[in-house]
Amino acid sequence: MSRYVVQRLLLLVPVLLGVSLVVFAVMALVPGDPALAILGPYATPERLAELRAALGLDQPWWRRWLGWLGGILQGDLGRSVSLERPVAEAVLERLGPTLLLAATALLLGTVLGLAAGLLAALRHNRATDRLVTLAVLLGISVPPFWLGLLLMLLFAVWLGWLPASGMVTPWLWGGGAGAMALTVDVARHLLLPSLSLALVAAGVIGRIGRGAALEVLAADHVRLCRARGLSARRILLVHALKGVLARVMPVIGLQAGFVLGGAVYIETIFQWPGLGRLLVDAIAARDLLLVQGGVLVLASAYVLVNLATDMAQHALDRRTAAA
Amino acid sequence: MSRDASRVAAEGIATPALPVWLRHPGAVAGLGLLALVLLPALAAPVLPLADPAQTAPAQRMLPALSAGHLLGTDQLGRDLLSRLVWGARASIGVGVLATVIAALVGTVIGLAGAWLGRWADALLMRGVDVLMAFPYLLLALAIVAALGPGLGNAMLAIAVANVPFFARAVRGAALEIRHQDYIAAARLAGHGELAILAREVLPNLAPTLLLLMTTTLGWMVLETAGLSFLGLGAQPPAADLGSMLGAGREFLTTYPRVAVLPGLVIVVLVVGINLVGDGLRDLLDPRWVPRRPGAGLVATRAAGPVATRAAAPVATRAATPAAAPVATPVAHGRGGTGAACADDLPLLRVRGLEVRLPAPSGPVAAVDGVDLDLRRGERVALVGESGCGKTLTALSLLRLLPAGAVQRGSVRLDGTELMALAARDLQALRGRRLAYVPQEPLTALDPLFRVGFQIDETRRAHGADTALATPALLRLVGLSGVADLPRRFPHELSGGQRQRVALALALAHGPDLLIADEATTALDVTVQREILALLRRLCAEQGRALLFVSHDLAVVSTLCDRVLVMYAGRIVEDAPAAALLRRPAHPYTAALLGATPALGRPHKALSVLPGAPPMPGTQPSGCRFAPRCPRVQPVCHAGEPDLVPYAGRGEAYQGQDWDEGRRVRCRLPLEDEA
Amino acid sequence: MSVPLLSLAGVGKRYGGGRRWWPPAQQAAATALAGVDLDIGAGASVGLVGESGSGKTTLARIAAGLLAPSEGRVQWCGRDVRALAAADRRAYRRGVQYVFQNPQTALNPRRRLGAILDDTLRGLTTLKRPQRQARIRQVAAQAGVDTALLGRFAHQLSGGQAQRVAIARALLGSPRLVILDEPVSALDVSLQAQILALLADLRARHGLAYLFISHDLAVVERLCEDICVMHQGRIVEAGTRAAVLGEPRAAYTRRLLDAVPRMRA
Repeated sequence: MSRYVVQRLLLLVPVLLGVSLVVFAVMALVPGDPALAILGPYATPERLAELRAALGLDQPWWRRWLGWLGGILQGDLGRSVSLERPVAEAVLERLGPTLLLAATALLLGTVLGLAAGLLAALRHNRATDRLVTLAVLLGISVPPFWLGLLLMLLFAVWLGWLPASGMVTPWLWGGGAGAMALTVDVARHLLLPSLSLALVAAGVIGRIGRGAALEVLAADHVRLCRARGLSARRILLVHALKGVLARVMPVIGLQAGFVLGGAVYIETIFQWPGLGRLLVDAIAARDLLLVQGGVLVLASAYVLVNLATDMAQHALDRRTAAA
Repeated sequence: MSRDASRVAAEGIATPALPVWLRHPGAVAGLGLLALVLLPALAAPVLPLADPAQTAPAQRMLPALSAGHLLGTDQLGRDLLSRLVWGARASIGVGVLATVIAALVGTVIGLAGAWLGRWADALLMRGVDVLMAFPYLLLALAIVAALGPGLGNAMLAIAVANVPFFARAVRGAALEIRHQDYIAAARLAGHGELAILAREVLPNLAPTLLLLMTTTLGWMVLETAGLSFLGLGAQPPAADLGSMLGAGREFLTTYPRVAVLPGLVIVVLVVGINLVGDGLRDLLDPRWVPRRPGAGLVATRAAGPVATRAAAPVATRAATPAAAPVATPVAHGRGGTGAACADDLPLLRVRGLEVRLPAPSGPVAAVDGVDLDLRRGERVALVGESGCGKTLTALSLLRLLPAGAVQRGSVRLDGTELMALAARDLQALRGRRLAYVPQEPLTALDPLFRVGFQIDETRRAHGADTALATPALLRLVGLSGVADLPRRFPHELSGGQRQRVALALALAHGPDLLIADEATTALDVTVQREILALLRRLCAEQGRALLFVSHDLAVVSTLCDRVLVMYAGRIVEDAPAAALLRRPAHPYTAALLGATPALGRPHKALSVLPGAPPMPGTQPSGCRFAPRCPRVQPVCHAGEPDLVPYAGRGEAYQGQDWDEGRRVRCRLPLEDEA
Repeated sequence: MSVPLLSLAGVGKRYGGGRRWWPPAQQAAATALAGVDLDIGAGASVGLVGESGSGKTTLARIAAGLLAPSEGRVQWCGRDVRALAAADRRAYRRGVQYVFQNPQTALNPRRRLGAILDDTLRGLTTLKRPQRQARIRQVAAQAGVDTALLGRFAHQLSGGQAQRVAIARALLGSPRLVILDEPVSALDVSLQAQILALLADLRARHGLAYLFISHDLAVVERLCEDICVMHQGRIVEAGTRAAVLGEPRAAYTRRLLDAVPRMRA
């Protein structure tokens, strides 16, 4: 086990380096001259050359990459043009809300998806199974942003049960409300955006989970647990469940990627003060350093989540080897 | 053990009555939904639609069913229906194009990796790993951010973000194909690598690729719509469904229709695509059996206790002679029941056992009326060629048939009718009085749990106090010398060790009857010999009955007292082992013996039996062996013979009646010709 | 003595090994084959027996040129196969053919059997289409394949029929040596007897040499005049059938012979 962990940690290094290289390369795709873009068409040639040198554009790409990488290691992601403050500061400030949203969505999605998948498999070819299969199909076919709009329309606009946007109620946080009241306030704001993502993730997990559960329940080694006289309950809760989890775990990892990416839409719709909305604003303002920093941080978060699901997978099934 | 089932299924698919896809309700529904969106979108230029870009500020936000605007107008007074049709056209076009690009590039990368191997593969796959380390939407977003907004750039970004997915999937599939024997065979025919890729690999890759593309298309449509929703895709005045949704968002509270309708079209489109994808997956899967109205219920209901319990009582009554007293469930205590009839009642009595498997043309009987008795301490072999129903017979004794198979008849253990038992009572018997050892021990052991855990839970299944202690159990099966065994996982053991663990699990509660299904077939001969010796000892020392299912007569001859020969779902001969091996009465038994090569007699001519056994459901009406029988007579085709007592010569062998209890299902059994 | 058809000298095969650069690790190496010497003369029939993992299939694949040895030399008619001139290479390619254990995986599932056979012949010879068709009909008849089956796919055939097609494919190019890798292990005894009879008949008819691989000593004894016993990547005993099975010298051979279940009647 520990050997596996060490191997996986060592593998992180090239992957993170690669991620930074891709982010760097994508930003190098930007057509035109960045210095010209910043200074505008009326800049003097001297001023342009000066800025190019300052931006390091006169150096080969790998030196620029290394320089950028060196900055990252010191916590310097450059300075945002549109926000007029350091990128690292702006990004880290927005990371917390996004992680909260993504983690809640992933948790909800996993629980809902696994429950639906197991239920459908246990009621294979009956009404429950057909209902779940249909729901799961809708889940994977619905655009999350549309689902978010519908939920907002229904629960916030028409029924007025939940707040339509933001993460907190401003007047509540100004006053002396207790920690309990504040937690409930955030949770109420969190419910709709996280549900919009969770229902889609639950669709994918439920679909895979149903297939995995059917496969596991029909597998000889699970069926033959009955030959040993094990109770149906034990077979289901110990043997089948672990088998299903081992099969679904990689998909949960993939869904972490979906909720982190999907946060871009959902934060925009629900005015959630997260990294996704920051990215959309940065793209609109063509603030490339901010985009670069935001993408890098979100991708790194995803790499770490994947590391966690890989380790969970290894703990469930020791046949999975490192690398 | 599902071999019979898949054989039946595979056979049936060859002759469908209807185009197969029409029998897949999901695929039909998916095609319907898809057509609903696709046909208008394709026909958009010739349909009498308003210009989707024609603004009319005076007519903004007209309600549905307004004159000239079936679905009303949007915030700029444009016809909503026309915009939906044209928007769907754009979304579908972009989705398809992105899918094709991603599939093409991904296939090239995946194939190159799989075929070049070594450094090229390592480099390509590390690159793919890095791209897959991004949440794919984020990668697409970054690319669009760099290239600038626009539908073409969004399409390109989505395609690039999905290339790694295709590359990895194609590489996996290609690697699997690469190691197939038919690729080696093509090399032996002197073909070059490019010819092999084109002629052998691509045709086998095509279904996988088609499936991947269909399942990905839905995602691609959703993702491009998402970029457009954020304002990064289609730019006004052009619009796809996503950008319509994004623009309509502002009017959500006042005119929800403008944002809700484009989303609905996306959902219909993507549900249609996904349903077609699922249908395609099923149709490309050789194991898939189309559902039939009527037959479907029997065939697809999970077998388990539910189905068997429903079927059992009727069949039991039919199989039990009306005069016979209904057996009362006997106490479950070990070492006999104490009842007066215990001696003449066999440990296991099976009557009229039937196993039906699902097939496209309705259930077929793979085991068809098996009667057998097993006395205490008796070692009986069940032999036959693959597909004759011997494994299904063994599993049905524990009511452990795979899903879809249905059994009827009577199975009595010490007088207790197993077919009538509730699931809970049956569970109390399994593992304690009857135990099962499968062919491949990996199917008896859960790969995710340590060996010690599985032994413990088995011991506790019927109360650990009555079970053998783990060290004693391991000693019994000859595993006490393996250090650290309980801490190991099944895959960390050798085949022989695994089979010993499987035996330990079966023996934990000292069962009266051990059912071993080809328990030594997968082992090497030297290991097989050890396991056979172990089985012999475990049965002889503890007076345990054994039902040994095997295809190998030589193995059987070293272990069993009595042999039952199965052919096409029926027992055709039942005789003491010595008599059966020396003087088979059924021509099939004789043929089997004659076809088995024996070490030390290389010049003995092997009898060659033409043809192959009939599939379940295609048995001839007369004697089932008649079409292959070398001694067939016209009378053999007139109805099937019964399994009747066979007297033989009545001579004694080693103090016993040579032919005691012998039965044969043949009108013209072999007499003493030798 | 004349030059053997195929000769293996000091052949070994290792898998894995070497250093992985990241994460840094020395990878385990497995020796599948070590120092194997084997000569197969024209018309000989050599049996290769051993248990799973003994290296039988690795040896067979090296002999057929499907796998490159890590060490040692493979010679075809006295010439090293790595340094064959173009004409000799073609002769080697035609001269050695292979029959796989599982005929269903050895026949491309998406192509019709007739097309597979035609392709094989096109790869090995320069015959024109009508000649190829005639040759296929001829060999199919010899292998007991009904020509009506050639329009089908492999999965539509029974195991016995498919193995006959696989044997027919091996014979198309008129090979001198056929390597048979457990060709009857996946078959039931009644079909096994059919295929064994066919193999004996074909060998007598065409003067073929066989390298016959099996874990079943009784089958090898029936078909082979010479027998090699393999254990853990080495040939532990080689000799005539009578010598190896009658007076085994290696301890492992004796253990193997002892373990064979014999019909007790």
